[in-house]
Amino acid sequence: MRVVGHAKSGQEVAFVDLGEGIHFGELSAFDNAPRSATLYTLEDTLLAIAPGDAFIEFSRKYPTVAFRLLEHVVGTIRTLNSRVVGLSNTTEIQRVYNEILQLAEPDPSNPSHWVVRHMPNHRELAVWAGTVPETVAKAIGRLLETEVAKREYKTLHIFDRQRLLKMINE
Amino acid sequence: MSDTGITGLTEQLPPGTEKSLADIKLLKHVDAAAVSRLEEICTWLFCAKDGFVFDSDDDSGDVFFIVSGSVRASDNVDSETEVAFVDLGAGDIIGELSAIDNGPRSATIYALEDCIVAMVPKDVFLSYAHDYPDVMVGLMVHFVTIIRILNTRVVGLSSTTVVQRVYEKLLELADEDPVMPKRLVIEKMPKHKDIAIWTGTTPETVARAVGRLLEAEIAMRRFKTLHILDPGRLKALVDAS
Repeated sequence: MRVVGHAKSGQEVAFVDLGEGIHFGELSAFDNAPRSATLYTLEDTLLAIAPGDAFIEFSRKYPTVAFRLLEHVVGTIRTLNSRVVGLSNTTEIQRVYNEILQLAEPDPSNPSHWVVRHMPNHRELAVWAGTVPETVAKAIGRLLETEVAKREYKTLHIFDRQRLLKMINE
Repeated sequence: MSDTGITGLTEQLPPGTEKSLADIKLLKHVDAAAVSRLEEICTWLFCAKDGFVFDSDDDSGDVFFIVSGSVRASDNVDSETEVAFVDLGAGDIIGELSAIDNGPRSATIYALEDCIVAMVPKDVFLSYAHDYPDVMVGLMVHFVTIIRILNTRVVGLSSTTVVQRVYEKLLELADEDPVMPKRLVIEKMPKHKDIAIWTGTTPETVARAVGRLLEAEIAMRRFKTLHILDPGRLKALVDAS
């Protein structure tokens, strides 16, 4: 499942992707306020639903459960804090490059190169980098022009990872 | 505490300090006997304005209740740019994140004004929460509130430009002008540096953004007061995409 928020303009901003074994919806169970995000499935999904009140009663009865919940929300807060700092301190283009770097791995056939095997589409990258697909296109275009990277079908070859790192930290 | 030498905390309390946790939000639904039990365990400390309660290197996991005064939680992204997470005041709790997950401090906390805080070591705090389910639920509600605020900020930061965020902050600070009904007014304009901390930018950018409003006659400055002559146009700038 993907958890997203929406800006006034309608732009979608991804908070997190969730997988097996994870719970969600606990925010509204505890503060009775409206849902803070929209969730949609990324693949076929089987869910178990507990009413909010019953869930809170359960966690009161079992402090271990309550404690795990607390650890979970603290983790969420830490992730969001780093994103606030990251977003405050970088340009949209730098964030696109950062997302690309996260996806890259060393190229076994050429030790000085890095490679992103399945480049996500522009829309997908935009949702994570906090920007629009057009900016993603522009950012990648710049990498190709300056020969920092080369595109081959779904694969992006990064020739100069150090330069890309420098572009992120400028 | 890892090193009391680097914090602004001292056990020298101002005369007449009341050692009471009655107004701590987290303990609102906890019975009085349980609150006094905690009051007895706490160490009571004073922190002067601008002093640090802890910085991001602190590894103690101690938890603090703000009895009086206010603090700012912020992160220094680099020496120039400080990013504020939240301002906290009397009744709030600090240091609870690290107490729960043993992780490093997520922020530096410094006093915006003179503060009295009550400190409990991590382990004591956790076993206290274990004993009182109301405290556990209170903590959950507290964290949920923080998550909602951060979610809104992530969406805001992801979808607006720096200048738009400065304008949005100005609208947030403005009140209706009591004299001119269609105008807004910020009686005491904060320093550019303070606005920069909240909008994730530099004081120079704030100065430029405000300067543009003056040029376009959307706003007018008189001493410490900023008059927003045309709130409609300012809102349109914030919402432009």
